[in-house]
Parts: sequence; C-alpha cells; structure tokens
Amino acid sequence: MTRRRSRRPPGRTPPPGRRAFPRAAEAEAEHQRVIRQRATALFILLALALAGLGARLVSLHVVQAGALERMAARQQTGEFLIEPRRGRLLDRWGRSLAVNVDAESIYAVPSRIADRRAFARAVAPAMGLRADDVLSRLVPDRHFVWLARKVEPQTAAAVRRLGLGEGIGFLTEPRRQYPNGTLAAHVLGFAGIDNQGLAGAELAFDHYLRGRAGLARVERDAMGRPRLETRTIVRPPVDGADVVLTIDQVLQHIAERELDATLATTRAAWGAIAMLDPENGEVLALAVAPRFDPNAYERVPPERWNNPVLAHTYEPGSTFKVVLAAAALDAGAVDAREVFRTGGSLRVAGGYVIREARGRRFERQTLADVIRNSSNVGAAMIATRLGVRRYHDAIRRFGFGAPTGIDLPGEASGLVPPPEQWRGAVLQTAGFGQGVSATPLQVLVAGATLARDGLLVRPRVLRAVRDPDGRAIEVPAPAAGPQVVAPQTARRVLAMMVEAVAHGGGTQAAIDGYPVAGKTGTAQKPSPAGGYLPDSYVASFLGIVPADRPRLAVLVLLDDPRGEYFGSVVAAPLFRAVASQALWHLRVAPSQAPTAAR
Amino acid sequence: MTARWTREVDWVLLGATGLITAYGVVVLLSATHGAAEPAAVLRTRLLHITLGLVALVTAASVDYRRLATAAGPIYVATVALLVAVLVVGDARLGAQRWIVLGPFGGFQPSEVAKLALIVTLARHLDLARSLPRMRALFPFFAHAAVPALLVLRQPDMGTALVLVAILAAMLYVGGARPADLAGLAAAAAVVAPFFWQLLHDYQRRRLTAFLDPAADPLGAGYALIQAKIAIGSGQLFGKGLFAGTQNVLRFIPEQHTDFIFTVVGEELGLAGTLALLALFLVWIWRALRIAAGARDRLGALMAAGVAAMMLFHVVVNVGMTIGLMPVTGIPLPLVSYGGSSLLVTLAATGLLVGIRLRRSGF
Repeated sequence: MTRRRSRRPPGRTPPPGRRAFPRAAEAEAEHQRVIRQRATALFILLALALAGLGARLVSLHVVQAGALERMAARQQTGEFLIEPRRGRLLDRWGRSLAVNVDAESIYAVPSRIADRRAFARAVAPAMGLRADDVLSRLVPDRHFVWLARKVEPQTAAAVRRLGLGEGIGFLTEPRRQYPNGTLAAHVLGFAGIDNQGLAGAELAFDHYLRGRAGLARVERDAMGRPRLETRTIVRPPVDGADVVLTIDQVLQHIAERELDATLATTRAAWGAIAMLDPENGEVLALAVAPRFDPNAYERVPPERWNNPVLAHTYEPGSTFKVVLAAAALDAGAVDAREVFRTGGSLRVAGGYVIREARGRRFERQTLADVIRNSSNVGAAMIATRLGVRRYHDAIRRFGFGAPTGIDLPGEASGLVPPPEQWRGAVLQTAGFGQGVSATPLQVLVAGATLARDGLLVRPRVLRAVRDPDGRAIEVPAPAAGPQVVAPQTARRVLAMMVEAVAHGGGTQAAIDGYPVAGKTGTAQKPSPAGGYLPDSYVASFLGIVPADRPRLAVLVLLDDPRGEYFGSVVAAPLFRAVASQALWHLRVAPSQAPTAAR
Repeated sequence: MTARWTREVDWVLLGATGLITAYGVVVLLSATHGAAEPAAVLRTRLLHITLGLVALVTAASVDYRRLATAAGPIYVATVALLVAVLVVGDARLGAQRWIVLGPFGGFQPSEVAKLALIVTLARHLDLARSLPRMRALFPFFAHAAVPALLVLRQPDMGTALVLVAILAAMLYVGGARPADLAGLAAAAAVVAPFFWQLLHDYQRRRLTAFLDPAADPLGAGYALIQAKIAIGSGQLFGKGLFAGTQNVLRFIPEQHTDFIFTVVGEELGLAGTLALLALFLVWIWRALRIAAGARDRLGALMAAGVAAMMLFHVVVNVGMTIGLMPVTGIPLPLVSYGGSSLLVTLAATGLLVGIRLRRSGF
C-alpha cells in the first residue's frame, strides 16, 4: 500500500523531494504554526472541560454521596404489611363460630388498560357492578386499584373467563366466615373487609383476634412495582389468637329455635333469651330474634346489629318484684310472716291509684303471696314501707342503673332516677317494676345474683384465649362481685319464686323433675307522648333452675306480642321449652321425682 | 519496512480505543443485565465491534488524501442519505433516524454525516488555503448547514450540534481569525432566541431541565435526578458490577445508550468514572497530537475534526449525565450501545491512524 501511495501522492501536498515555491513554503510553515498552536489550545480546552467534569464527579461521588444514597434507598425500597391470620371464635367446646376462608379479590391495573371505557363495560356485568362505577375507579396511570374484594368463587371465575390480560389481577385474601350463618349473630358481631372487628365479640376481643401485622421490605422498580423476588421479611406476622367464648353452640341453637317458633306464633316485634351460669356469670346462650347474617351484615340496617339484651332498655315490670322482695327482707323492713291488708287498690301521693292487673283483688297477703300472685298493690305497699332511700340503694346494689360490665360492646345503663326525683307514685310503681328502666341483661343478672346466694354475678362471654399453637393466654379474671343481699335473704326470695312457679302465675314454666324458681312480668311500655301505651306490653319470664342447686338463670323476653300478651302465658312456656332441653343437654340430674311417677 | 510501519502506528491511541471499547462492553452487559436476552445484546455488540475493526483498518489503509479527492461524491451521497432517512426512515422514540438494513437492523445516516462532514470540510478548507475575512467563512457555513439542518429535521438536535462543533473546531484549526469566530458566536447568540421559538415544547423543557431538575422531577427533570442519584450513590468505588440498584431497577431511562455513564458511576464509583474520563483524555490528546504532527494541512484538519467530534461527544454526554449540560441525547462514543455510533467512531480512529502513518512519506 505504501508503494502505491508514494507512486501517486494525491491532494495538494507537494510530493517529497520536490521543492515548493518559497511563498508556498512560507504559507505552509505559517499553516503548520497555526495548526500546532491551535491544536494546543484545543488540548487546553479539553483539559479544562474534563477537569470540570471531574470536579463535578468528585462533588457527586463524594460530597453529595450521602444525600443521593438516601434518595436512592428511599425510592428503591418499599415496605408493606403482611396481614396476620385472624384468630377464630370458638364456642365453649371448641366448635367454630367464626373462621377464615380464602377468597379472591379482584384488582385492576389501569396503567395497562388501553381503553378504560371498554374495559369497564366488559368487566362490570360479571361483577354485578355498574360500568360507570368501575370506570370511575380506573384512575389513569395507577398500577393498582381494587375492583371487588373477597368475591364469591363463581364471580372470580366469571371475571377470569373474560381474559382481560394484564389489566386485571386476582389476589387471594382470607375472608371472615361465620359457618353457622345467623347463629349467635348478636354475640359474634362481625369483622369488616379488612378483617377488623366491627361489632360484638369480634370487636370486643379484636386485640386478641387480630394478631400483629408483619413487615416486609421489597425493592421497587422505577414504575413503583414491587419486585417480589427481592422481598425480605423484616418482621414476621403474628397470627391472631383463638377466642373461646362461653357460648354453648347447642344451647344457643335450642334457644334460637324455640324463640323463633314463639315469635312466629305470638307475632311479637322481637324477642330475646339470655341464659347464664349463675355460678360464674358465663353466658351460655344469648338468642335474639330477628337475627341477621354476619356473613352479609351490610344487607340489614345497622340498628339490627345492636344486641338488645345489652343495649335495649325497658321497664321490667313484675319480674322486678323479686328485687323489691330481696331489698325489703334484707333491710328488715318486712317480716316474712307479716300479713298486708292489700284490698283491690291503693291510693298514693299525688292522687294516683294503684290497681291489680286484670281487675283481680287480694285481701290479705304475705310477701310470699305478693310474689306468687304478682300483686301490684302489695308490691306498692311494701315499697312504701321500705322507703325511697333504702329501695333505691338496693336497686343500685343489684346493678341497675349502670352497665353490668359484660365483655361485649354497646351495653346500656338503664335508668334508675336518683332518690330526689322519686316524686309522686314513683316509689310505689317501682315496686312492681314500672318507672325504672333496665336492660334484659340487668334483670337476668339480678335473678342470677339471687341464685348465687346474693353475690353479684358478673356476666361474661370470654372463656379463654389460645395462641395459634393452642397455648392458653392469660386473660384478666373478672373481679368478684360484692354481696348484694345476705345469703339467707336470697334463698328466701328464691323460695318465693319457686312458689310462684308451683302455684302462682308461672305454672307454665314448671319443668318435670326440676324445681323452677321464676317470676313472670307483663310490663307496660312507656309512650313517647307520656304515660303508657294502651295495648302494648313486654312479656317476660325470669327463671332459675334447678332452684335447689342453680345451674341456669334464664331471662325470656317478648316485645309486643299480639293476642295473648301475659308473661305467664307467652314467656313462661318458652322458658320451659328452652330450659328443659338445656337441662337435658347439660346432663343435669333431676332433683325431684318426675310427675309421671307420682 | 514492516518494522517501520508498526513503529508509525499510534499504539497509544489504539490502546485507549481498545480499553474504552472493552470497558463499554462490560458496562453494557451490566446495563442490560436482566433484559430478556443478555446474550443477544453481547452478540450484537461483538458483531458491531468486528465490523468496526474492519472499518478501522479500512480507514487506516485508504490514503486520506485520496479519500479527500472523493469529497464531492461523499458529500452528495451523505445529503442524499439524510434526505432519504426523512422520507423512508424508521421512526424510533419519536424521531426518524434509522434506515433499515435487513438483518443488520438499521443504521443512522446522521452518524455517518459526522465523519463525512469532517472529510469533506477538510478538503474544502484545504482548497481555500487561507481565511482572511469573515466573509470567507460563509461557504463553509453553507457546507455544514445542509447536513446540520437535515439532521435537525429528524429531529436530532444533539447530532446537529456535533456538526456545528466540528465546523467550529475545523475553522479554528484551519486558520480563521479568532475575532471572526467570536463574532459569529455572538451572532449565533443573537439569533438563538428565534430558533428557540422553533423548538418543540419537549425540547425546550429538556434543554432547561438541567438548570433545576427538581422543578419537574417526574417529567423533564426525571432522568437528570435519577442519573445524579445513581452516580452519587456509587461513592468512591461503586456498588460493584451488576449491583447498581438504580440500574437494575430501571430507574434510569436509556441506561444502556445515552445514560450509560450513570451505570459506570453507580457500579464503579468515582474510580470508574475518572478512569473512563482519563481514557478519553488520552484518546483526544493523541488525536490532537496527530493533528499537530500531520504532514499536511488536510490531515491536520481531519484529525482536528475527529478530535473535536470526540471532545464534544464526551463533554456533552457526560455533562448531561451529571447535570452540567442540557439533555441533548448524544451517545458516549465507544461505550453507548449503538452500532452506527461505534462503527463511525472506530472508522474515525482508523482515519487518525492513517493520517499518522502517512506523516513521514508513506
């Protein structure tokens, strides 16, 4: 190649050996000088430019490195919570009342959807949503929006069949499920879409059930998408503990079945049965009708979620006479053998006249007779004897006018007016349970307290808590209740209640083989306009069985039964139906010879 | 003869070229790490390097003086290619820059235009002998303006500016009076606002973003902020190859092309970036040395043009990456992924080697 070049040198450069003209040589030398000089200038420019770049690099790599490093870490790592599994709710024998099942949730990736309108139109019918609603959720450029949480498997399958590719995704999440449907709905309450307790035991024991979320760190790419393969668990989640309730699923079912049947025949607005063990206050069954399905709690109006046994207050009526009897005996205001000349009516302060229900008339009655006959006039006379202060204080000692402290949310206090407000006939009407208000639970607690020899019963539904490995977690024990009345007082009132069932208004509550202590109630309902409603009543029955060795305290309540409305007629048989089956289920040995053997 | 021939080859220049190219292969592997087919990227790169070596040897073999005699046809062919790409070119990333060549993918005529301008302008200036007045500069303006405007039309502002830089450097080395050049620069500054009006909105935003990237952190400033974060977080010695999180997590757009310097900064740290800059310093120094020592004005002008091209590319690309210059989108020679750029840079290297070879009578 060199040979060829030297043979025919192209361009304007003079070939070697041939001398240029002096002027041309001069010009050439001048060019060479300029070129060298300016090449050097360019080199200086190069050096300066690269020095500038180098200085900037030092600044970035060294001086600003810390701050830039932090910015890198912040945008490259994301943290997210790992949801723990929520603890189960179990009945006292470990049967599942609330569990978790896997459910699919559907989300959309709007940034991957070319035509959001068409996407919404395609996907909405399969999920039972309106296309406009779906469209409004598809915020452009977002990488994740929920479309539907925890849907039925068929819905997820239908959406999956649409084949919408990258625009849609499915996540499996645990969904709270109540396998028994409406059973014990008012006790259990329910948990929300994010497994947070919202009502009932789910709310009350949420701190045991919810567990502790774990923390995971993940690298995020520039689009903000987490890269799952880089996930590191910083703190593992701690699953929630199982909560064992005092409820017995079988007793609950018995109570609900019988209550539903009675509600259907009496056409009462609503009804409730609460059953507890007076020995320890454990609630064995708490039935309310009508109920709701906690699996679909949002389909009923929120008022229906309230547990009326705790939250509803009513004037208890004649069941309250047992409180009066205990107060009067315990204060020594009345001797058990003392005979009251009751007559047909009683004129009291302010011109009020107290009469017996249904126009009955009792001339002479002891305290036991007053209970057995459910005499309003007798109760009014005894209350008058007792006086405002002593009666009021006894009522409060039994727990009326304040929450019982049951471990369920939403409990009401009821209303016991302070003594200075007991004007007119309040003292006398309070003798038969009008003019004061209470929750059904408070009335049951008063009865259970009598069954427990006067020691105040603290009702509760929490039996035990077990961590996910089955180990027991310590739960605070309920404080021992104070002695409300002397044990012998409680026993004497209980004996009067046995009489009331055996020979008084509660005969339909009697159970073969078991002595029942009970008291009926047929209470008037206060009218919003003042006074009482003319033909609307609350029929109730407070019962303790077996009276000689109490195992169950039961309150039955029917609000506004149509047709027959007396507690003795509608509530007492319901008590009998429930309590007799409960005794059988609990294998309680009969303490009397059955009637059939007589 | 052979011994003398090997002595006359600029081994330092070739060594710097080889080192920068190898450096680029390693960094490119890291930048495309996690892509669908890293092996395919490597294969393509090695193919481009092989083609580039052929171009280098060819350019060194052909006598530049002979090449200059073909300036007319070269110029016409280049302009024809630049027109063709506007008509039949393949649009990528919003600009029409590629001509498709079947299995080779495609090539960018604007890259070829840089080398063609160097060769033809050197010939043009060499013919003119001297540049006594400003008016004498106008023909060269026209010479460069045609390809520059065609490239700008694609639009590829970065490469258009490279052409302007080549023109300026060659006029300077060719003997234009510094006062004339300064006057022209002042005139350019005066007309710049009018050109500013002609720019697309996105171009304007990109050009000013480096002044305050935080003003639009998710838009025009995004790449700048991410690039700075990547480089700064590399600290002194980097996070190690393939370990750059900004790189792997795709925070940096165009990380294997225009912004590849960020991968160097993040994964190899200050040591890596300064080493690369040092290699470029050596390369451009050798190019200027060849210009100064060329046997004739033609060779000196060509070498100066190549040196100016490289200088402009390195300073503008690195300056853009570290937030000192506007984002104009030109590659880092020998390092950025892209066949046309690599081929042209290696051919330019060959041209330099040839000029040096013929210094003393070959």
